[in-house]
Amino acid sequence: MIEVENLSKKFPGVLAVDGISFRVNQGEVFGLLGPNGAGKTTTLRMVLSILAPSSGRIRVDGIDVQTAPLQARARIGCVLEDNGVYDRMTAEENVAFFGQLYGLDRQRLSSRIEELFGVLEMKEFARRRAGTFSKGMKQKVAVARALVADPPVLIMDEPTAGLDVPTQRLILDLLKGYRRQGKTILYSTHIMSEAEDICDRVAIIDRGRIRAIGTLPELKEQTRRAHLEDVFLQLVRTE
Amino acid sequence: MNPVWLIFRKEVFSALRDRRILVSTVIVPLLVLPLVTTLPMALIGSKERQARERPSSLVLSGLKFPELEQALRASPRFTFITTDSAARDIRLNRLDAALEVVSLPDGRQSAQVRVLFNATRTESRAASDKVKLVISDVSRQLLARQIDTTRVNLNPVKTIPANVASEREMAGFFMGMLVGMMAVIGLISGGMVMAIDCTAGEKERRTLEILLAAPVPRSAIVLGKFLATLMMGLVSVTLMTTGYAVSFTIGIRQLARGSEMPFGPMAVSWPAIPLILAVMVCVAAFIAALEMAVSIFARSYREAQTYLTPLTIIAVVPVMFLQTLPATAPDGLFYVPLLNAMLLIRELLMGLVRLPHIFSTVASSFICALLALRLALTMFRKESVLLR
Repeated sequence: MIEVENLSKKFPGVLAVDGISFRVNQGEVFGLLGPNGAGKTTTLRMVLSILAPSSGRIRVDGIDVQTAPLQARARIGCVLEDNGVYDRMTAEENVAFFGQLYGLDRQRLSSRIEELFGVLEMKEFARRRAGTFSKGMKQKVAVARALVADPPVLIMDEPTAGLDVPTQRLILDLLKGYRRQGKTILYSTHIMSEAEDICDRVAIIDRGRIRAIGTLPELKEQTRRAHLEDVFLQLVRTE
Repeated sequence: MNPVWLIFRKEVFSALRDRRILVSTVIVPLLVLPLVTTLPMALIGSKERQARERPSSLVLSGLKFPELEQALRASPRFTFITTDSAARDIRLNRLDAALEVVSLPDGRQSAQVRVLFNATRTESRAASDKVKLVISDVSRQLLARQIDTTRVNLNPVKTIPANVASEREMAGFFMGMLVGMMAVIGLISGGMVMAIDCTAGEKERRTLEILLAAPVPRSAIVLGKFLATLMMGLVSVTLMTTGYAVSFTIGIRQLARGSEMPFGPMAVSWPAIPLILAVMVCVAAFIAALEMAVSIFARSYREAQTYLTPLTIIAVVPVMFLQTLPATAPDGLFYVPLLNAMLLIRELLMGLVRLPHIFSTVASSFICALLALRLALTMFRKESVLLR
C-alpha cells in the first residue's frame, strides 16, 4: 500500500508538486495521468526517496519513506522514465546486480531470472551486452530488474512508452498478473488507452495538483464524457 | 552481499569492458608514458655520445700554424677534408667544423683561430668542443716553452671535486623528482576516467537514478565508487612504474649512457617500499575522492573533463617548485598535499628515511582524503547535483 498526504515539492522558482494526496491499495493499479511537466515523475521520485518532499508524508506498506528510506525502497520495484540499463552489462548481469542489491541469494536469484526471462521472452538475448539492444529489449530488462526481488509495491513510470504493440501487451499482461497476486502498483502514463486498460483508479494531475481522482466510470460520470481522453482534456483545460 | 562490494565490483567490471578506461588506465601508463618520456631522453643521450665518440670531419685553412696542425692531425678524433666553402658545407651537414688560422702568435699578441660550427647540430657542437680542447692543449704547450716550468707552476690552484652525495643519492635526487611527479600525475590521470565514468558518466547514460532508487545507502554507493576509482588509480600507477622500470632495464639506460642524467641505481631500501606504497595509497585516496566530488557535479563526461583538467595542471605546479628545492626541503612543505608526496618519494629514493616527514605526509594526505570523501558524499546527497 502507498499513502501520500499533502505532498509538495518546491524547486527554486517552481512548485512542482502542490499538496497532493492519494492512496494506492494492495492489489490495485493506480494511474497517475498528466501532461508532460505535470509533476508525475517528481511525485514518483519522492515515493522512491530519490527526492525529499518539501512538505507532506509518504508511507509505503506503513513505512515512512522519509524516516526509513532504505526499508521503504526495499519494498519497491521500479521502472523509471529512463530505463537505466547498463550498456556494458548483459541482460542477465543487469538483473542479477539489482537482485543482489535487494539481498537475493544466489539460488533465489537464478530461479527468479529463469522465470522472468521466460515470461518476458528474454532468454535469447540474456547473455548479450545491453549496449546493442533495441528500446523494447532494454525495457524488458528494466521490467525484469524491477520484478526480480518480487517486491510488494511496484512503481512504473511510463513503462511502455515507445514500445511496439506486442512488447506493450506483454508488459501490461505481466503487470495484470502481478495485480492478481496482490501487488500495489503505481502507474504513471500519458497514454489514455493504456490507463483505461490497466488502471483500477486514476488521479489526473496537472501543474502539480490533482484535478480529479476516482475509478474510470466515476470520472466519466463526473465530467459527463464517454472517453477517458475527453475526461482528461476537460480536467486539464478547466484551470 | 555487502552493497559496497557489489557496487565496487560492478564499477570495476564495467570499466574492464570500456575501451576508453582500458586505454587510459592500462595502455597509456604502461606503454605510452614511459616511451614518450624516456625514449627522447635516451635518444638525445645516445646521439650526444655517438657525436663525441665518432671522428669529426674538419677543414683547416688560413695561415700555417704547425704546432696546432700537428696536434689536430695526431688526434684520432678528427678526419680532414678539403672544401671550397666550409660555411656552406657545415650548413648542409657535409662538414662538422672548420678551423681558420687568422693570425699567428707574435710576442705578446695571441694567435687568432676562428672555429666555424653549427650550434643547432649535435655533431657540429661536439666537433667544436673537441677542437677547443686541442687548442687549449696547444696553448698550454706554447706557454710552457716560453717560461721555465721548473720554477713556475702553471696550475697554482687545483680543484678536487668531492660530492658528499653518493651515486645512489644523486640518482635518487634526480630520478626521485621524476618518479614523484609521474606517480602523482599517474594517480590523477589513472583515476580520472574511472571517477568521471562512475559519476558524470552514469548521469549521462541515465543509469544513476535507478541506482539511487535501490535499497542501498548513499554512503555505500559513494564508497563503492570511490574504492573502484582508488583501485584504478593505483593499478594505473603500478603499471606506469612497471613500464618505466622495464623501459630503463631493457636498453634505454644503455642508450642513454653518456647523457647528463644520473641513471645509476637508486637507494630503494626494502623498508622504503612499504612506506612509498602507504604514502601512495593515502595520496591516491585523496585524489580519487576529489575527482569524484568534482565530477559528480557535472552533467556529462565532457563537462567533468573540463572541471578535472585544471586539477592536473595544479598538481604539476609543485613539480616546478620541487626543482628549486634542495634534497632536504623545509619541514612545513611536508604538510602541503601532493607536494609532500613528491618530496617524500624523492627522499625515500635517496635513501633518507625521516619519520616526521613520513608522518606529516601520511597524516596530511589522509585528512585531505577524508575531507574529499566527505565532500563527495555531500555532493551525492544533493538533489540539485544528482538530478542536474
